[in-house]
Amino acid sequence: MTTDYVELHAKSFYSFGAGASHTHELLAQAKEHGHDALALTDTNLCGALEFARLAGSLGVQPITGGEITLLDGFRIVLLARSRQGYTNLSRLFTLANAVDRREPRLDPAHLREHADGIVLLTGGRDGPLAELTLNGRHGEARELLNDYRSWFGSDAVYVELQQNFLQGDTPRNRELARLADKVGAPVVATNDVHYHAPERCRLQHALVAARLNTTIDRALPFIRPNHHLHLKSAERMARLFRERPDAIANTHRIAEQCGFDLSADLGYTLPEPQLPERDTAEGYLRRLCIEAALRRYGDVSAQVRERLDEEFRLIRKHRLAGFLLLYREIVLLAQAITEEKGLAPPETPLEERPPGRGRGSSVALLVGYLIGISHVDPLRWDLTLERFISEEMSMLPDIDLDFPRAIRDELVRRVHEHFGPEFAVLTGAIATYSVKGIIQDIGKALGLPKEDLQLLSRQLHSLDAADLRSEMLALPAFRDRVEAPGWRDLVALAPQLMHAPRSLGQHVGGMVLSDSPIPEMVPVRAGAMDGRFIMDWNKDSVADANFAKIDLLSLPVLDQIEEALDLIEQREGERPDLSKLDPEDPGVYDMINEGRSKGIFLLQSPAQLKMGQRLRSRNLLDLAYQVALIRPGVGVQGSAVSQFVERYRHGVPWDYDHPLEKRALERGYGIIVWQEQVVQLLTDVAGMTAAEADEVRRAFARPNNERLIAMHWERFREGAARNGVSEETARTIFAKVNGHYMFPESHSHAFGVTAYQAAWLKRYHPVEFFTALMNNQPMGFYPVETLKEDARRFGVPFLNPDVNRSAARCAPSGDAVLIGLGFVKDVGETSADALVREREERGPYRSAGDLVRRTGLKPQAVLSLVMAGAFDGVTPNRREALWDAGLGIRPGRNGQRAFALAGDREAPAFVDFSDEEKMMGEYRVMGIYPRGHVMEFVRPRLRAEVMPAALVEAAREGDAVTVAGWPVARQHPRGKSGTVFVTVEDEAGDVQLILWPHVFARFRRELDSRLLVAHGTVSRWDGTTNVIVTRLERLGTRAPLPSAHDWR
Amino acid sequence: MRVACVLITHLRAKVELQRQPHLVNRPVVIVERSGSRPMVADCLPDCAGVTAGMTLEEALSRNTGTIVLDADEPTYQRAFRRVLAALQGVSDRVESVDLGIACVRLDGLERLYGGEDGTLHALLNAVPAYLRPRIGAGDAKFPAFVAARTSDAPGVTHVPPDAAAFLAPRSVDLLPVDQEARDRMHRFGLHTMGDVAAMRPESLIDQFGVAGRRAWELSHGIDHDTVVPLPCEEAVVEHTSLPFASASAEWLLTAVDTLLKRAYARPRMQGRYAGRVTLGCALERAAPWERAINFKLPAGNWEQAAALVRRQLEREFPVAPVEEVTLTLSGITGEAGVQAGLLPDARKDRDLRLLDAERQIQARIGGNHALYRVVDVAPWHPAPEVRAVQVPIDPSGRDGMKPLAVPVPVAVREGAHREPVAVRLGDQWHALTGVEDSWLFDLWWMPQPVSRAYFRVSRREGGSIVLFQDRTDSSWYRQAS
Repeated sequence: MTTDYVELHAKSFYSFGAGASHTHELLAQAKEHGHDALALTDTNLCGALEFARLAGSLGVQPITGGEITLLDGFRIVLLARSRQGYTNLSRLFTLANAVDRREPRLDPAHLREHADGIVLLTGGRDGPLAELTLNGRHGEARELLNDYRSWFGSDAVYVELQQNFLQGDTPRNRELARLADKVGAPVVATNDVHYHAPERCRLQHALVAARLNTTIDRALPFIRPNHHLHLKSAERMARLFRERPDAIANTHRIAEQCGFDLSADLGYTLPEPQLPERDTAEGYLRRLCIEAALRRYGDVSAQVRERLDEEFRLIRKHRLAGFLLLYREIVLLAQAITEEKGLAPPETPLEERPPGRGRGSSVALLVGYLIGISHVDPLRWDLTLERFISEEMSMLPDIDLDFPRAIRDELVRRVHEHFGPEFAVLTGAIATYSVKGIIQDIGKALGLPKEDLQLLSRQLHSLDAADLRSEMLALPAFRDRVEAPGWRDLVALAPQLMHAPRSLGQHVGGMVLSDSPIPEMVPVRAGAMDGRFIMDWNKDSVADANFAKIDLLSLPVLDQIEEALDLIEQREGERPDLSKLDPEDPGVYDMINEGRSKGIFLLQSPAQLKMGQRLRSRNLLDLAYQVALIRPGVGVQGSAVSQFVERYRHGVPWDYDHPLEKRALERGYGIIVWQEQVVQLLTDVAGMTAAEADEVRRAFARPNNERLIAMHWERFREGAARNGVSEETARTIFAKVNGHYMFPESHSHAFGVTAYQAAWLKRYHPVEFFTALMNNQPMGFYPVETLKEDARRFGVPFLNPDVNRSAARCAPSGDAVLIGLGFVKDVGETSADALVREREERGPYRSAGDLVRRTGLKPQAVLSLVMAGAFDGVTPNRREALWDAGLGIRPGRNGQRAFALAGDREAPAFVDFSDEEKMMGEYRVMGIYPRGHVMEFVRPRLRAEVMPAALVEAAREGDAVTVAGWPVARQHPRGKSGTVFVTVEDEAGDVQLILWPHVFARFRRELDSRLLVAHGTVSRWDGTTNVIVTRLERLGTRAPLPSAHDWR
Repeated sequence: MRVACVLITHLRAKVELQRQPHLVNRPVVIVERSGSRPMVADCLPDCAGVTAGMTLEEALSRNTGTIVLDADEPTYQRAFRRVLAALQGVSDRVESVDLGIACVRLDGLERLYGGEDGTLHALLNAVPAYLRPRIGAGDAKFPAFVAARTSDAPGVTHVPPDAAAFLAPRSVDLLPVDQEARDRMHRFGLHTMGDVAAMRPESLIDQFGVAGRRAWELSHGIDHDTVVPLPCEEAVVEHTSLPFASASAEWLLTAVDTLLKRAYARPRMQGRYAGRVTLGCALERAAPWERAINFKLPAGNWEQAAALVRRQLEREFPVAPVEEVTLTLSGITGEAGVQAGLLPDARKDRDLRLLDAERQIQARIGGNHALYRVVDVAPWHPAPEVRAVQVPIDPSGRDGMKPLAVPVPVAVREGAHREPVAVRLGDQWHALTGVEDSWLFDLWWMPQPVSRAYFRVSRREGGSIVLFQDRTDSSWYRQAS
């Protein structure tokens, strides 16, 4: 059904705090009403491209527009008629952002110069015309309307009428219509849509209050207090404007005028790289590669030449030479920073010590390795090209660059500077609502006490807002409030807001480089940090627009690897070249396959430890599969992971549900392992375009997506039927699609290499590995205590810090790790450096008091050092060390020394802390107890039946066992309804507990206990050993153990 | 010096039990929410393992089914002030140490009460029985306090002659030194006052400074602090209930202005100054809110005081809609030197003339208010009767603020689409010829949701009126404009 009404003024959640519907909800509602077109007019263009693509996939004409606030606070609506109009719209938003990046305001003087290709609606009740006419300033109103008509064209300015049953709507519409008739301007009806359906009005009211950081009561002046700002049917709108049918008819006329499709090409091109005079990009790139190959290999062997020839053939075909040289320019900027910061010796060839590491397609390119954008020698690692750059490739290859944390921020600033702020802009990131954010924002809007909201947030187990009611019922402090005023509304509104866009932020490092000014393609604003500029689009929109996004990321494992290499170089005088490692070292794979890969990037989670034991990787391809399998998108596919292992490792036969699946699923042995497979599957089975298929993939990740998925299923079913796939089979295939995160294939290979390198370091240089791991915390999965226990099993003990031996950071000490002074709570990096400097200049410290007198270290830090055992070397009795520290008078600010104290300086004799007290003190100030484990003190209190975790390995299948320990990690891979995996550690090792959903539901509060006792039966499966839990008990301890993470 | 320490432990809990007896034998915690985290201020005996100072989160983890009450500090303070007043009836030298702790000088009262025991029993009897006071008596405040702690409730304990021996087994946590010093003492293994007393005083002074000396002296039963009697304080209290609970700042400020005017109009405030205003608000769905605002210079008229209160309210405002306001002027002093203004105050003159006119009219019409000022308190509010209030010109009267444009119930005949087609005004039905305009609002978030459908309708006789239907009960009203 087609109708004569098109909504031209609609906001979504992207208007942060003004709209209360997803773009897909608006589109689905428009489709249900039979509207041919829909305009999205948010207060920015954050959702514009997503909306345009989504609309296209649903067969609705998207109209790109925006609501702009003028300097005086009035608002107008602008709709793009053409590419030029869109450029102007983007420019106008950028100009408004320049006035105030948080509350953009546009100087109306800019309208005249950027009017071409735009339709202007005068803004209804919020527009300047309404204010003038209602105040009787008719002459000024006529003048303003005439100005608009002269700037935008008389066929492109419409007087906007709105009837939302708010007081004043009728007289205002009457006045505005009279003005329009007098001037000869057309009128247009809009419904000033803030939500797709009436029931969302409450959420919208709460969001307005949340934006103003106040309660709904206080925000009332800014709230439209009824439910009539939703997307209405054409019939209803026609009834509302029966006296002005032209206002309805004009909506269609405007939709016809606004034929611009944002999802079509924006004319983006990459900037040209800097080239030597009279050189071409390809020629220059080839020359750089040959020079580097000579340095790297000594000569250019036939193998190197053949590989380069093949790569250059593809580079030429896809015109990638300039693209790769741009990356090199960035890496050169990074190299300059590392040299300036003294992190690398000057004039080191780029390929010898690249300051960053490539991830994605660059890893397989020998060219990437030779120009310094990759750390992996693809010849050495036998990486085939076709997995990364194929003949049919239609998009630019996906290359991320990871840099150490120390240089990344400065690099972002330099890239802005190097290319110019209009030509190098950071990708935006849309923060979305989590259940905790909802409780905080909406709870406050509803006037609920802040402390209660914080308490509720802290006590939640489920992170799904739909569970809020059941969660509250399970909590003593909240169970009586579920139906209380305010709380009842919070419970009702929370699921509507889950995962909705909340604010625009900055992507961690995604940067778009362009040959033409970016503000002409997407609005730009200053970032929160000085010297940074961000765009309205997030990474998905950037990819959809076919912009080349260069990710300048910071990957902590790189810092860890670099530091470990530095330490090895210090100890052995030679720095291992990781790019030349044997990629099939059995020692490394044995370690992984024995489940001994804690602390190793991507291989350390309890699930990965088990996966290593099951998959038994022997090469990089295996490892690429291994890292890809433990991703949410694979995990949610029922028993897909187990099926993969059976097929891949044990050769179990399998078949496709339909032959059309072959191309998509062959590499995954019938399983979707990588996200590209989803797109391929939809394309091959239902004949969708890649863009349409990707839209379906994303639809699965969108919140409140039921209607959207139903629409996509219909399209899939029809497409599949055209390809001869029955509905039943189509349904089976469609059920394989999900929107959860999976690795792109190239990333899993690149990550596999990095993981292997980290594993190699752990296997052959454990002291340096663990030292660097400690120095780069927080990273990874486990509390440091668990890593310390793992290090002990690798023959690397940890030593308490020592004021006269420790450096500021952790450092190797023989075969042990000597904890750094900066690792101790309250000391901090600056003070630790100062302590070491003073020691180096004026000799060792004689006592705690001596340290206080010489350094003036604050009392809390001294206390922490004593409790950490850092003075044990000079004053073995820690109480006496504390007393001595308390007597030490800190030097005055001017360095003047204090008078000697009146009393005798003999310390009273104190009994030292007990071992248990020391253990608790060390946990408190370091989070670890280097000499042992908390369970050593608890074990004597336990019943005899409680066995050490290490003995579970020797038990038989089905044996009843009881273990006790510290739950160091909890994983909920399938969300609220799935099985929970808990790793429990004791002084002898660790064991994995499996809690079936009903057991978890019964004992989930016990899991919050610092220590627990678990009863269950042993399960042995595919080389792994677990305990299936039947009952949990809390185990009391006063030890302040660091809390373990919940991984979901 | 003989001193009695009157100790009421768990005063907050006892006050709550007194006003909510059904809570007896229930696990109740009283929570103070003024900080960044809700903290337990007090609890009833059935909350095993819960102590004051614990976070609410921790307290809840100890007991399932815990009942959480928000602390009502103004009520607790009032209850304790009544106790102090009763103790002042026994002795004029009463010091308020903290909420629930008072010290009373006993010397010189023996002949009045027949000896020290008689005085102590008089003190015990002065305190309401439900508060179950404990009394300690000794030669100094601190030993008397420790004795009170060890006493039965209700009951009296005397500090024995060897105060140091009496104190020796008691925890250092009783010492009135800062928490950090007490924590450090524990860290050194100095857990009891006996441990502290056994140290050399110089060592303690070296380590803890002044706190070390005080800890050592107190542990030996030496306390030179004297009882500082409570000052006698005069106060002027005014109270008003708002016509509607409102979160509007303007509304609260108007109420404050009205109360200040009224307070300063009292004969006893003529020519006098107030050094402090205490503002208490009863809130909708929230614990009472109270703030004391101390003036740097005492305020001698309502305008000065209002400006200072307004400044404070700009910084901090009640968290929920206000239902009632109580204002107390205290720190009242005689007139100090005041610099008169050089130019005449035209506004003040106008107000005085208005007041004079009001009083003349009142005299003629029999004492009722005649002149009001209209104040816009929430002009943006969709309900017209909440937008403005009328405030009497004469502050001395008992009338408070009055709403304007109050809707009047009317009978309405409805048409096919629930629109009004006839209205009864007085005894007559009037036909309505059409709906000129209609609008709706729904204040769903309020404790009593307000949902109305408005109609501006034409009357057959000419002119138009505004009617609305209350959507919660379908009743009709005429909205005065």
